[in-house]
Amino acid sequence: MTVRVRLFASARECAGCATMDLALPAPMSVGALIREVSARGGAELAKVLAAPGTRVAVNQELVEVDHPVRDGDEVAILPRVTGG
Amino acid sequence: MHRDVRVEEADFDVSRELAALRQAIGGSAGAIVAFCGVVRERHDMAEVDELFLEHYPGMTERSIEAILDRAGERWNLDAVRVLHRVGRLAARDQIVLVLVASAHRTEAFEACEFVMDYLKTDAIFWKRESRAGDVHWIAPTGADQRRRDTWREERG
Repeated sequence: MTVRVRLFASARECAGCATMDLALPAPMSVGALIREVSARGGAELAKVLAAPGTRVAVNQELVEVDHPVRDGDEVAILPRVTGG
Repeated sequence: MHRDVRVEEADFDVSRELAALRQAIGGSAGAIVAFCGVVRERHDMAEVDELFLEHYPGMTERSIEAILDRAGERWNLDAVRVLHRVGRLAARDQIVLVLVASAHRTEAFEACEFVMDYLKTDAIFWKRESRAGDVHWIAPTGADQRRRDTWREERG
């Protein structure tokens, strides 16, 4: 399956890109996807992903790590928000 | 309740937004409260060279709409409008405008404060501050979290 990962703020800067289009085996959980992104993105990105307050949204809905990722999903890595 | 959220880079004109809100609502609103957030210019330390606000188009607007809906459930409001800027901002630039209209001023004042307190913690924005060559993403403050939490104690 193909999944688009969107990265924001410090995650985006650590990864060096705002989006990653990944070809991944299905089925895959959000947690496994995060580990995959972490492995590809380097130590700094891994720290942001593991930091408290980092959340994940699939198709703009917040999800838990056991949520299944599907072909065509947009998965967003949201570091702890600053707020408005 | 009339509810409107805009997230954009362009600056806003408070008078124009206020007039547009008054146009949109009926004559039952006797009170309209406006809050404007501005990038502070701090003289106690190096000035903020630049504040960069990042958002997630679509999800950020919905996170603000959810806050406005909560305000609408808690108070009897005619209208709530939020304009939030993103992108590169300098000291003294306007950041956010919250307009609340209701029959009476008590609800308008309280709801406006509620919306701002929740915007500070729950709205999906990230801020990056550049100050004298140091660049860092701003972490949420404990003070803002505690202030938001007081609304859960039925302060309003």
